[in-house]
Amino acid sequence: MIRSGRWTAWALPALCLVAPMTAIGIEAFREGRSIETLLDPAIHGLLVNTLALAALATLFAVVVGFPLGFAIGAYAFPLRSFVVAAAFVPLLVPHHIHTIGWMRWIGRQGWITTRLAEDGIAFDVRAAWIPYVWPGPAWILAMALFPLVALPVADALRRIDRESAAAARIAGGTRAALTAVYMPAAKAVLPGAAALVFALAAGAYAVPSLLDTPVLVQRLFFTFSQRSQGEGALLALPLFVSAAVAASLLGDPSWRRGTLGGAARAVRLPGGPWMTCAALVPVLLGVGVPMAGLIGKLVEESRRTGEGLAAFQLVWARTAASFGNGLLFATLAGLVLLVAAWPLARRFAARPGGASERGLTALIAMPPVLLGVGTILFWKETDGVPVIGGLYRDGLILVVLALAGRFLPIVVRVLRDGFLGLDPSAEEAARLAGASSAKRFRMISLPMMASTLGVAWTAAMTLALVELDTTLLTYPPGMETVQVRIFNMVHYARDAEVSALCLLATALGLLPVVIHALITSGEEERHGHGA
Amino acid sequence: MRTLLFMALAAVMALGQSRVVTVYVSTDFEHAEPILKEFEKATGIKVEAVSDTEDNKTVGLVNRLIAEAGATRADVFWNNETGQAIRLAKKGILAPYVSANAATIPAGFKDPSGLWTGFGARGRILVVNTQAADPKSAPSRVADLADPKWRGTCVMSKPLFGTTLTHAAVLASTNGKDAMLKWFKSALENGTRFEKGNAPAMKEVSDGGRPFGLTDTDDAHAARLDGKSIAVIYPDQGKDDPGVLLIPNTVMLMKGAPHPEEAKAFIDFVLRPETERALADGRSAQIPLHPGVAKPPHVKGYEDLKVMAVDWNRVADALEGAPDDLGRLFIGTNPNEAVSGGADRTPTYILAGVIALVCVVLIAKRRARA
Amino acid sequence: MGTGLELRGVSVVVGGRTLLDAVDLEVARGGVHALIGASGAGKTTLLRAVAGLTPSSAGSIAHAGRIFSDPEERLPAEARRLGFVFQGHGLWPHLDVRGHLAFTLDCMGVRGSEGAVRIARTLAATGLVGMESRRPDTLSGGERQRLGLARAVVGEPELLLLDEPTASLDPITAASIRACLLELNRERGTTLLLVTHDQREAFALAGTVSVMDGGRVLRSGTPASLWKAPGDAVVAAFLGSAVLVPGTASPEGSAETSLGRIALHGAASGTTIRVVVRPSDVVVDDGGVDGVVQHVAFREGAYRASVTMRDGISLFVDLATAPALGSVLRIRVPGPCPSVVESSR
Repeated sequence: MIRSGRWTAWALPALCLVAPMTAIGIEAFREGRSIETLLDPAIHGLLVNTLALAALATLFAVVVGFPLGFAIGAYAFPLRSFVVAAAFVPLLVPHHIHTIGWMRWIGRQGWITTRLAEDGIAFDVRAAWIPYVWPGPAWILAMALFPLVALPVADALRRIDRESAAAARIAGGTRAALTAVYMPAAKAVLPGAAALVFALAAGAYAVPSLLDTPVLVQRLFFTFSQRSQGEGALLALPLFVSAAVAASLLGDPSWRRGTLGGAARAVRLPGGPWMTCAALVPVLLGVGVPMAGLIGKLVEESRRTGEGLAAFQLVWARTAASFGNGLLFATLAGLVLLVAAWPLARRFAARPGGASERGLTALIAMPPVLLGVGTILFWKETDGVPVIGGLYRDGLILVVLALAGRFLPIVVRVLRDGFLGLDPSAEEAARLAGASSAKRFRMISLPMMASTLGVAWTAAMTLALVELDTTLLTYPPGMETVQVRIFNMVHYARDAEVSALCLLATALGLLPVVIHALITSGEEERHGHGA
Repeated sequence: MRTLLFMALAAVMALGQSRVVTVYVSTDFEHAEPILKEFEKATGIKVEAVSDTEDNKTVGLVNRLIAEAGATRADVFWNNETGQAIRLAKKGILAPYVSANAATIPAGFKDPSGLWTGFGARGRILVVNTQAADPKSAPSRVADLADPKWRGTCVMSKPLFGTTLTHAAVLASTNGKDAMLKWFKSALENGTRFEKGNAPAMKEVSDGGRPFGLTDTDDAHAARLDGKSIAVIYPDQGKDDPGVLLIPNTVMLMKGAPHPEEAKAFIDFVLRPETERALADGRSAQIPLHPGVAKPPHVKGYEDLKVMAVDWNRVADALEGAPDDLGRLFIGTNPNEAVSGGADRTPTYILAGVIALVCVVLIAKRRARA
Repeated sequence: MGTGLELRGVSVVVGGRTLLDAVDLEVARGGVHALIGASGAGKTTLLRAVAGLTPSSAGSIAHAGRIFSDPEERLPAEARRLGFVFQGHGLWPHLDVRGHLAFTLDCMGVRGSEGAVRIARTLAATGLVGMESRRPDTLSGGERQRLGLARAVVGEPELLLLDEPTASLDPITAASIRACLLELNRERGTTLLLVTHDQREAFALAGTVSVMDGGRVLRSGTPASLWKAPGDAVVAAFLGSAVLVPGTASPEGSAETSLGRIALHGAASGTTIRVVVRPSDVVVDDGGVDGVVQHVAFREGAYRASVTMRDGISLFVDLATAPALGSVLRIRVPGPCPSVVESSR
């Protein structure tokens, strides 16, 4: 595990990702099914819709996320840390909540739509403006995904070499620093981030489902639920291939071997209050809109019933255990993810942009329900085997491994970027000192990667906490999570409870981010004083 | 990994100490939960629940049950409709159990061999926005949604999931699949709007988007609780009409259930009239099937209605074939414009163009690198 | 007990590219050997191959009788027990100065008072006293270099490898690091193998020097022997501010060139040769050839003028007084000078 041997590196990923995908792959081609299913022109139409939707969502996410990432990465301005924390929030809000929030504004009976209708302008968020182009769902998807662009951009700017920035400023002032140093550094990470957004958008279900956008995933889920799981799995193949192609077309962010320092050496350009205003725009779009929707509904309901904030007490009393379950799964999955991602990330850092790495990125587009079913199909083969069979029937292993498999590509990427930022001779020096591989891992690699591990852990925990689809298929009976609860309540139109629960769940999702921010801010201060 | 193993073993040991039943629940958990708690209190058997809604197309307990087939973790499946029950029965992953408490449930709502048993039903009803239209001059039959008289005034759910899919399968079982598909096509042509689900269809009526709609009784009751001005019409009550379609909750024993005795105890418990009473009182306002169950005034009784007679075995057959055609009709490249039909090859050409472009870019990139 | 460091036919091939091509090298035990050459010559690769950080694909490496690698076996880097000073320092950002040394000693099993004594001694030897609790990001470039060196020597290795140990340091710091190295070599008999692109540093430190180019060792020897007989145009060009003047060798040990007849060291190895002319070989003499002064710089007590001859060759000449730019000097090269054949490369 510590020494990245060729096969040991893949052992845990194989268990949580490769084995389930193989199981579902076998299911896809059972009973004489073949690729011919995919030759149907109707499927092609849905695929074109999917690709166009994903591309447009990626474009929107870049348009909104890039300036935000640039602002928080390159500038110091009032309320900057608030904006940074807020930039995580859209990732913590489940997609269906984003959609519900946005529909309050631009849905058929939404505020803006009604206002426009009064002025005689017909606007339908669900409609295609031109064939194959669905800006409404693309926009809402982008609002849920733009932090995946903003955060890597900000991180790339944080790593900018102080001297190269200074040199550019001497040569041509702030403008030159922006064009010659900051912009290229930010642009370098853009293709990778865009590939990730594209893959997620191509596989997204909640938004197109709620807005009734005809994308391939809709057909896939329909086939999956009503016809056969194997045929549904077969329909996922084009999604996977598209994401893989996007990952190889958009390529990999260029990188630089980092030297000492990191956070403490970050230099930021001065930005005034106007910068705060500019950075708050995407935050308002991605956080304000859904949150305003949730809070608005809560206020409306409490006025109607006169019960005040009783909804909070009610849902807390009923779901406190679910919060605990979610935290337990997320914590375990986070640990498994770090252990599983470490050796892979090391391998990928040694040779970035390889085929296996791109394949792993593409798996993000795989609908999570397939991973969930694949996990069951694989593990049920162990039924009856002593101990392991018990794990299948009663243990947490399914949900933990499924969550780990779901987010492995993202965590691997985070860790890989961390490894790329390390000075390779630092570890070689430890080798030459005669340290055993275990000691090198414990005393050198682990501490040097500590900040990256923190980021990866935060990402893993957060993602696992708000996950719904795989969890629903794999959680042990009697241990439901908050997201499962929320989804059921959405169906039964319990708007006040849903709003209250979503706000609580978002606060819970922010917990890892806040903990991480507290730890790192302390560190940054320490470094700052030392320098 | 060691932690995981330890926790799993601890869980196994904890489970070994008491009697347990694992119940997969796809009815509103807020209503199911008190019933599960009551069962625990009455029997001392601990309930491990997995909850979900039948309307959850993304994942759904049915997918979990099908994937787990052969090594099921569930003992009992409590489903809030019928279509998936008969589908699971057809797949052979249910075990027969005829509960004594099912004796007074009408024969049309249970499987004769006891593979599944129905209770607490929802009706497929017409709803009217009373601010936009007079209920007295409103459609009174489901077939009216395809009647030019009501052109462009109605809304319903796409028949892809849940009760609407079951409804479509029932239509196919009585009139034949082609007639069913023809009816949906003519409803589309008639300007009937097809929403994603029954709740959105209800919302479209209560928000004034369309004056009339076809939905479920529970959605209509929820809208009324939210203070919307709507009226309910139980359709097809005329002399020659087939009657209103009722779709009950279903409860079933899984084949290979790890705790069969506890499972049977649970099924017996759920099939008591008291459960139906609770479901009638709740937000979903379900119609009791046991005779003589007390119910609130807004819930119609089974005896008060002309109810459609359904041969569930034929519905099961219809469910095998119908989804494919309905999928083609309703998940086309453009919703509500699917009627035109015919194989439009444009997307194939676009896709071929995209693939060619990608190849060119990839080759160019490789050249540039070399 | 074996000899010092021995490399026999060592090759390194990475991704189809030959970085080291059948290199033979010997460094006497307790000796100081410098590898010089242009960037990309394979110096660092050779160092890394000796350390075991880059696997060699052929040949054998041994030190003091211990086989580091041969076709049958390969001792892992962590078992070679040598010191390495990295060009980029390779410091551990999370450890302070003392932590670097303590970790290294801990890996060797040296702890407690013995460790403390060694750390104190090393800190004193490398001039890091008073900085024990500082982390790398608070150290200056020179201090980091000292820390890199301190970490490499605290374990008292018999063989110390150094990759550009004084690059980008000011001359005073560089000189103190050099003094440090020589002391280490003298007191403990540590064998030093250092990589540098600076010939003067190599000559100042090393008993023997190898010149590398294209992954091969072109020539090895003492500084004086290389100076007198570089043997190869590339080697000659690398040593001192040498200018290669084309000429034709005559049998009596001299060469006819555009600068006139120049006496040669030893016999020329062909007829078409190049004469290695260094500033110290050039005199201003009325019997010489005319050249125009292009540039003058004061350098270590003399004015070094760059003089361009009629045929375009530029020579350097050291003068006691500064000539005027553009003035004409009469230049003569009496010799004897080394000669090289036209390089085959």
